[in-house]
Amino acid sequence: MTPYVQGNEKSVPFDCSQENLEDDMSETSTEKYNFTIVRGFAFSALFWLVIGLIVGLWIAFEMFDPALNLTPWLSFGRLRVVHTNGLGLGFGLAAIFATSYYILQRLTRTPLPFPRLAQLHLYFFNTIIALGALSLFAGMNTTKEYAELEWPLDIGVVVLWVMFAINVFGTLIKRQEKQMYISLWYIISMTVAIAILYIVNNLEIPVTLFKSYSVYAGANDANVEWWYAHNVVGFIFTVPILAMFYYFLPKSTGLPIFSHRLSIVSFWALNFAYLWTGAHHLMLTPLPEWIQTVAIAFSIFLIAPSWGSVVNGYYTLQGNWDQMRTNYLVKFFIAGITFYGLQTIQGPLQGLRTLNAFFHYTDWVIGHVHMGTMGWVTMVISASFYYMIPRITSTELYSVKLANTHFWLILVGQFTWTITMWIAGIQQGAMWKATNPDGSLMYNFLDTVTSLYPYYKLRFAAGVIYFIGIMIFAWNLIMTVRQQPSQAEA
Amino acid sequence: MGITSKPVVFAVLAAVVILIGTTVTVFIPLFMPSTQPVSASIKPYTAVEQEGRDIYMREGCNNCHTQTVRPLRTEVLRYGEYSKPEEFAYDRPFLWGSRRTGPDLNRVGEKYPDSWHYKHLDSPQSMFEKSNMPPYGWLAKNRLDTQYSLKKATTLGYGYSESDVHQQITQYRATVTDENYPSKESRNNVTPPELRKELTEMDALIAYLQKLGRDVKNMEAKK
Amino acid sequence: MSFAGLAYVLFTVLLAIISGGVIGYYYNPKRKQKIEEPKHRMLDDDN
Ligand code: HEC
Ligand code: HEM
Repeated sequence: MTPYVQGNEKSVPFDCSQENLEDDMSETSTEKYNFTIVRGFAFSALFWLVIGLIVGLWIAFEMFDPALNLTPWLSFGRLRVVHTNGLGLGFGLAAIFATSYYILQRLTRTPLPFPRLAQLHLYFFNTIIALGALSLFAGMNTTKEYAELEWPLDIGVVVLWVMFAINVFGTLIKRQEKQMYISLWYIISMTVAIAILYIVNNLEIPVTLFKSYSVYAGANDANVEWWYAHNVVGFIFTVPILAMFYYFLPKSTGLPIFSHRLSIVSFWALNFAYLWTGAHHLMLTPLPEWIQTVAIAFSIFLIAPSWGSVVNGYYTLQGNWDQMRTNYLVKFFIAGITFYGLQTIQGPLQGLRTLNAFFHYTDWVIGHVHMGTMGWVTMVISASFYYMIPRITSTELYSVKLANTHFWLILVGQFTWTITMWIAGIQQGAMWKATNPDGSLMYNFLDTVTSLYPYYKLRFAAGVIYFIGIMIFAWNLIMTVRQQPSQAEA
Repeated sequence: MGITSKPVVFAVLAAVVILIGTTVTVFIPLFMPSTQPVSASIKPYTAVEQEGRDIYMREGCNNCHTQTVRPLRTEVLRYGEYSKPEEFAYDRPFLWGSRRTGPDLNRVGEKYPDSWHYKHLDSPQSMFEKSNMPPYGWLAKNRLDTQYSLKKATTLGYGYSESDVHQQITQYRATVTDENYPSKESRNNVTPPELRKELTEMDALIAYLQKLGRDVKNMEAKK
Repeated sequence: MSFAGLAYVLFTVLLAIISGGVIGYYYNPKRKQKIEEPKHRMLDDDN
């Protein structure tokens, strides 16, 4: 069916050191490595993905028909936060943990040093996410984007992160493979960066168990928050996804990544430049202008390291583009990295003052975001899971045909979704600016909202298509592990 | 080869690289007074307004409403004078927002009478049939919980004494429950009889909305 | 030129030099073999 995916006959044995050969012969990977944890996180990710998308569909509907604001906890203002956190923290983090635990063990050829801690990490993670969702439904909300959880849960998140970091560094220190491959660098920088970002932005003074105030005020708070928010997107929706991309693309094609040194240069440039750019979210606000200007400059520079990865991805397939057809996983990776490439051109453009003045606060940005999350992030995670799950359960994917259906549904869903929002954004931006010949405003605000309802309806429909694709994804993986019960439990 | 075979050194180096941009664009500005200037004309929120602000946060109004007017011609036409940094000195957290599903609210204070807000919050659709703003009628059915008002004001460093807070609350209650309160009728329409003599969450939220952009007018007048 | 303007220019030049150095180091042909090795090794840990 898909020869390259199943093994790596195509790979070039370069230098097989003794100890690895011995290891590999005495044990199979499912015995040597801890894969139960990988599986636990992978299915947690699927669970939160489905929940987060249902909430997403709910708020998408509310945007053209407020009748769904049935109760306080189903009202749009509260629910939108459940959507972003459920998918960003629930789905995103779980998928990152699943793939990181897998990649770490494989690339270091070392089992996790603290498997019990990892198990605890899994339970604790799901508890925190569930409590997080409940507390957001209840309106316990600090309002700082992607950092909405109240302080007790913030502490929980930090503990969670430390639990993860112990295994990351434990594995790396005990590793049997001297050189760290690209994916490991990205996992390291994510581990370090998220810790810094999360702690600094969430410094708050508690009033009660359920309420706190930020230690920063006004423009400072805004600056800290968008430094955080921009980089949390960078270090959760970019860096670890690149770790997956750099690992699973070569693995599933049997082709070495095009250039290791290009990835080194891109890696450091990305890590350096990302942190300067948060203020491009605060263009033309009362934040001092020099911070905004520096952010614009670095945003433009970011095109270079971002495209370093895009180029690396494309060139890896050089001479083997037939795999787009023969290997179902390659489609996901290539579509994913393409959306990443588009995203990282669109982003810096949005940061330019004149364009930002037009697009900021409109649905254009929502379109930008979702090309990243529904395109790049989900595509790469999907393919990574398809590669990983059969291997850790010593079985084969339940159905490649379903995987292909999944691909096309989420592609069409995502594209329709984002293009619709771009058009809506352009329209709304233009209507806000439109003036009559006498200089007065042409539209009142509500007109600029109601004129978008047709787009909101189309977006809802696109969301349903995407959701069906995701359900097929989940079904395919569930059936895969059910084929061969408990084989992986070793 | 080099640092790629030393994970701990690698992690430290990554942290350093990450902290350079952070220090220049975030940490240092925290200590520069020019980032968040203060003005004597801008007063902290009263205890009731602060409670209203907390309800605004709880309901996530910030997910649809921004609170910063940009210095663009059509934006100033639509909302009023553009936002000044001094206005936000007491905003913890800031509520500038990132998406305008509804209009900007930074200049909404005193734009409408209280009665307008009672009616609008209770049912936006009764005023604008096609509005997608959720109805918040139940806010008028919740008694305002003021047991932490003092603690909140203290935490935020507003410098109110216990009696200040008490007085602010009783005074605002007196205002909205007064026989001659101009918005009495719309308030009574949305407030259940047993709460008409008390402060509700909707009262506090409206007090907050009316404060937005009020002080900056004084500040501008002095310039 | 103003002090701020000069500072921006010098900072940009400094960054350009550092990135030039990093690129020069990693793109040096004599290190190519060694630097590119992990990308091959990562492919053969399967069993
Ligand atoms: C789903 C998005 C949404 C949410 C959530 C929302 N609003 Fe609105 N809001 C709107 C829209 C759209 C309008 C314009 C139409 C209208 O007046 O109903 C509006 C208008 C307003 C106005 C009138 C502004 C003006 O200048 O005319 C106020 C005041 C207001 N909202 C306050 C709030 C408060 C307070 C909350 C939270 C309790 C809130 N809104 C939550 C969408 C929203
Ligand atoms: C070079 C890389 C990128 C740059 C410079 C960039 C730039 C921007 C800018 C300027 C905005 C704000 C626009 C506005 O509000 O007017 C924005 C919003 C956003 N972007 Fe990007 N982007 C990049 C890549 C990405 C990627 C890869 C993702 C996701 C995978 C992403 C997700 C988001 C999110 C979640 C927001 C919304 C924040 C909000 O709620 O306002 N971005 N980006």
